[in-house]
Amino acid sequence: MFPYIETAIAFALVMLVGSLMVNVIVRILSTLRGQRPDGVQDMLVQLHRGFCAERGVALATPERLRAERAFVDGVLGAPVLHAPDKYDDVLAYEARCKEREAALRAEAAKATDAARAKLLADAEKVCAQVAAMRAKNLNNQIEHIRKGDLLAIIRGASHEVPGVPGVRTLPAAWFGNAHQTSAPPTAEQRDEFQSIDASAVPGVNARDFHDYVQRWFSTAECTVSNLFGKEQRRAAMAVAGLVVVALNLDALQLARDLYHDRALSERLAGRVDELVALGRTLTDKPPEGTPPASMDELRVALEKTTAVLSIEQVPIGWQNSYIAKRWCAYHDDCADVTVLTPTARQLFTDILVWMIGLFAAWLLLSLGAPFWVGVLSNAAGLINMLQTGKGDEHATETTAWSNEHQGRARDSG
Amino acid sequence: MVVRNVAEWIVRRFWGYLPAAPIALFLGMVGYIGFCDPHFPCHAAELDLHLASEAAIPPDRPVATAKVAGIVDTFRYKPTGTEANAGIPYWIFKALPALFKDDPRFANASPGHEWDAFGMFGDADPAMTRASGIPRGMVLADTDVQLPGTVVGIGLKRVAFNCAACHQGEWLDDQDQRHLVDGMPNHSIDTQQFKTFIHDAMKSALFTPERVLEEIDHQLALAGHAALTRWERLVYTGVVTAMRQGDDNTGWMAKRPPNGPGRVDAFSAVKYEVLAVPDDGKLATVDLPSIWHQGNDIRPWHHWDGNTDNSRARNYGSVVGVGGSALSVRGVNVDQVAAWLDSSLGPPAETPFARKAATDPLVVRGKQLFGDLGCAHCHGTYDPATGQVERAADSSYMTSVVVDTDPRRWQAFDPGTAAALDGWGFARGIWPQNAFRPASPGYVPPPLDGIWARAPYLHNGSVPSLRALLTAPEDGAPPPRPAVFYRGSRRYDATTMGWEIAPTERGTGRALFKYDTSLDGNGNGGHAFYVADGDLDAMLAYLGTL
Repeated sequence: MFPYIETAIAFALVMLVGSLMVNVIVRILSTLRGQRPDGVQDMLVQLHRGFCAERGVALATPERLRAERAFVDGVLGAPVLHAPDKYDDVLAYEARCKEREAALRAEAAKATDAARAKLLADAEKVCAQVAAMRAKNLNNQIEHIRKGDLLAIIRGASHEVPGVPGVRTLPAAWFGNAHQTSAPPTAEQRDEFQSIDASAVPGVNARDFHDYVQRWFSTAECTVSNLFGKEQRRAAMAVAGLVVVALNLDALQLARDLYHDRALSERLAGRVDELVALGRTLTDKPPEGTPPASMDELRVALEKTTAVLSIEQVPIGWQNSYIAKRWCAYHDDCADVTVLTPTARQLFTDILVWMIGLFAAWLLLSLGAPFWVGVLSNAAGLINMLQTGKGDEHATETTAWSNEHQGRARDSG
Repeated sequence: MVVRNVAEWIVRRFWGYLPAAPIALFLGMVGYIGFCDPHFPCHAAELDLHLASEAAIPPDRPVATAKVAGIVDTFRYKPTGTEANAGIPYWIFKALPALFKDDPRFANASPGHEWDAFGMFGDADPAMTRASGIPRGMVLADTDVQLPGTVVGIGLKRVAFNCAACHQGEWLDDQDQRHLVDGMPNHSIDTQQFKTFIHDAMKSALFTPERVLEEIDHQLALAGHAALTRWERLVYTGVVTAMRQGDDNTGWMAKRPPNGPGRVDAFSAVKYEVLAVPDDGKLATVDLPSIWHQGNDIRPWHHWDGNTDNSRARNYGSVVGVGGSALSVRGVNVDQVAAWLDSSLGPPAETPFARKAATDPLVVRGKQLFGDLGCAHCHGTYDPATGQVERAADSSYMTSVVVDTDPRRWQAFDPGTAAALDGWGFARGIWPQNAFRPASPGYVPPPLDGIWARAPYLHNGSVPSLRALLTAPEDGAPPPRPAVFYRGSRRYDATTMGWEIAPTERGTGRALFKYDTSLDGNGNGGHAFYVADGDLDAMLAYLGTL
């Protein structure tokens, strides 16, 4: 019974390590791709669009895109979200670029037609550079924004409409300059938007937008989060496939090798607690406010999963694999004399079984690290239970001798 | 930063193709194996840079008739993974002595034997023809990463240390024949001087791509090969530039007394260079130990302060200490050698002096004294016939004891260092949690197997011979141990039971290292256990049999 359990635990452990590898690689890729910052920006755009649609703010596409970009830049460029030195660097860069842009435009105004086009194109390039710099150094640094922070930033960005006390408006660029309102609300409007604010008006108004964000933030966040999760799962499936092929992870052969190599199974089973703990660290949802794992932390975790498999000499990989040796033997060039030369038919069968093994491993890795953490946690409980049982047997054995001795003494007495 | 930007660009650009990547990789692998290289899975996946100069490296060849055991061959000639951070490309290694021929460290070196200046002598192993000409204890290895079941790397051979560098000793007999001993401390190698030289060279204005390429061409011409191609020049220019820009985190060494040959401060190297702990002024310099009989039955704790009982932590930690990384450690080689050290390797049978028989009256008397004077209480009684150590019931064997020897080493391995080292390896999966413990005051008294070959004595190698260690002082006087002596000689002094301590090596005239016991960490006090004059010869005769 024990050999099967140990083999099963060792097998599950290899799958856990493989799944953790997949998990870490997906997180590294998603960090490199900037998926989280993109998600935050998509959420802001979603809120902006929703509000415009609700209030009938109709903008032509280029204007709408410009307005959305201005809103995203305005929110994510808020100084409160960034380290001061980084923020100052961006501002200084922007100031220099804007000077250059202004100079180019001024020059273009005086230039001949032929030269003007080029100067204006150069000025556009400078604008694009500014946008890229801002996106890279400010917007793409924000991986998460809390509702309260967003609301505070919106409120902070608003200003009172000159001459209309009590009505606050937002930066002109956020909704296209034509859609700002400065008129006080009518009585009907007040009745209609009672729940929002007395100063609410149709069109665009800071209080309206503030309220809209308050109502729909969770929904927008949820939508983005679902999309993010879906994309992560798709990436995980692909990366699981990559890991299976790169490591030549043949589940059938692995199970057989682990069953025959008891020492290895025992060594692996001895690392269950350590790897389950790592699995929990990597897969459990971090507490609110905890920053996501840095690239360095992810790199170390990847090193660990790789090192565990290579140091424990888990029989996977291309070199010295069964299929590789059979292939070499088929070509009459295998150093391992224990591997018999297969016929073409046997080799074909081997390759078929190997591919089934790879496919099985891919399915098993696709179950994800949390699944294997759960399996191994339950298995750890089972091991403890069995070992306690073993311990009890030994406990009775240690007293057996004295009991027997006492029994004899009693008999002779 | 550039790498990160490139990686970001690639991921963003090709993200859409990710689902097709596994199939593409599978078809690529199968296609390559099926149509290009059927034996690809049977060898390491090296990226061939097509460097003709690599093929020009003269190959080392084992002497077929020597019949050296496979594990001995692994110990002496197989890489351990130190090339990852400390390897030097072969042709640059060959060029260095000529590039820096005016360096004072090479002042007395004869051409072709420049590395002798660091006690790194050419190999004298009759079982191996080392045509590559690299010193004993160094190996040639491609730059590989040990992935699970698959080794991938770049086909650029680099020179790096392996186990034998520090743990294969040698001695010279009266006919100037060299005798190599596996597992014996290499008391002539000065790894710190070598490391300092390499770092100085990398930062020197003389180490420019132009000069290096010119000298490599010269070396290739000497070996009868064509000069570097344009492609090779481009590759080597990149390599030299990268070496010049490498981190310089070795400044801590200059703030401490030099180690000299046969000594090492491996824990400080890990602490300051790998763990990046701020310099706290501590030092942990020790004499290189012998590594025979490392099994838990004889040595349940490892290192002078017994800071670990974990064989893997000891071995992998050593590789990391001299340039390895978690993914470069060649687990198969290191584990095989470790198993050999833990089970089979014992002290040498051959000695540079006439060893007395165990039944010799002087030896019998010495053994009696060893027990009577209480030596066995701490060191146990090693039996060379069985390779076992007999321990008294209340023995202090391999438990930390304070005998007033220099405390710098055990003080250096404080709880913070232990935790940092422990966490580093655990986070990378190469040793278990709590593999290292902070040192208790004092050092663990080891068994005395092959003690003659372990001179100089005490943990810091501050007493040159057994006679100096055990000779009783005059009343009220300090122990008659030399305050200054010279280390690194390969000539054995059978009278004192230690290496000769003259300023130059007898016969070769090689200048030796002046060891000053007044310097920080070099103290020769403590272990005040002496043998009366009349009994000293008997004690030394007995110790010579172990």
